[in-house]
Amino acid sequence: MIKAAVAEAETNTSGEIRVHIDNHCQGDVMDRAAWWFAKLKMHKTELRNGVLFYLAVKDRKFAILGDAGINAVTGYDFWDKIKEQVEAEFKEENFAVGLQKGILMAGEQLKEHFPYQSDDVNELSDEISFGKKS
Amino acid sequence: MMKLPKSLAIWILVLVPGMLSGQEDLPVPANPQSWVNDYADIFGEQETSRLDQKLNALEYRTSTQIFVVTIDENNGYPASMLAPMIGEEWQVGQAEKDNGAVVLVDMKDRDVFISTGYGLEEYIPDAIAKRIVSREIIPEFKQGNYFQGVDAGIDVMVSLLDGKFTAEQYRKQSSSQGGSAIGGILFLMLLFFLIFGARRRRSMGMGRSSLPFWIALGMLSGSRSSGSWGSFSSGSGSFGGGGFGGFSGGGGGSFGGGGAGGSW
Repeated sequence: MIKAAVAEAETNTSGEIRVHIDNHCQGDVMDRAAWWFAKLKMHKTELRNGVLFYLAVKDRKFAILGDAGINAVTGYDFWDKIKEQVEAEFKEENFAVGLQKGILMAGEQLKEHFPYQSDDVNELSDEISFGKKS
Repeated sequence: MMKLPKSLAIWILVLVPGMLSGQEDLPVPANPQSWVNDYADIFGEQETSRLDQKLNALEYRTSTQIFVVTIDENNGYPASMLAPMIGEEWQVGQAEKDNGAVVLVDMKDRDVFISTGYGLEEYIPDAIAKRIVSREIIPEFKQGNYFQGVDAGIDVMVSLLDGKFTAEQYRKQSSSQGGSAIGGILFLMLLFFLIFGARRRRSMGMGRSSLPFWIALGMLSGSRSSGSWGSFSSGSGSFGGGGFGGFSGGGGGSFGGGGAGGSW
């Protein structure tokens, strides 16, 4: 379901979306997301338009992190709007639904700035990444 | 760090136009030149070679690689994103152990961040890495002592990796620093000597020294306050300088990575 959402979101845009799920995230969630962003080599996109959804289920933390190319063209509240949607679902323990909504929303908004190209290459895997760095 | 009402902690990154060009390369070469990569030219030659030797020796002893990187251009990335990216790009650490670390000094945004690989988590957890930045490095930076700051931070990292003291011991020690930290530590040392010294003399066994090394090492750092050394925008809170300084909401800094995070 998540993977399908990623694939669907990416049909609208050249932006690349990935999801990483942890159990725990000690410390700062943005820093951890940045760590995974690098680990998953998400900065290796042509237009610098990767988006990472990071989720630490047991510690109830999540972060959405986008690359420089996106921030250059989107508005201030781009991430917050998505975050609010995701958060509302997470509060109800609807993790899959929350992620799905957030991913599709990100895809919609990315579409405006990074339209899908006919020769678009899926630069990053759509698979969810799991793992921990406590 | 900006903490909003109880149930909702939100971090907001501000977005800045102006990076419309295609792929931006990292603001560092594809490969490191040595352990110390002083692109911002803030260390003296001798300082660089001294630190290089220290890190060379560490790698020889433990196979752990620590790279020091100083930059004066960040291509729009906050240090907290750039440090792990450089680590990834340079493949810092042994591949199977992921036992590398990058100490990044961003002179442009006046930010410092230590990023560690999986393999070092046990010795230098993230919270401790932050603490090293705020306790050892930033106070020296505030005085303009760039080399001394990085060197002091590296010394703590090396001691943690060598097992001279544990992360927990360092945490406790650096938390309990008061006005007369050194006096207190000396007193404690004396006490330890008296107690354990006396006890050992009575017992037959050789026994390993029970005096924690970290007490001695603790004297390296006097009482200091944490914080970033630059004039960051407000709101970075308790660990300014721990890499998060540049992220604070409002104001609008110049960084490229953006996003939002929170807990629920």
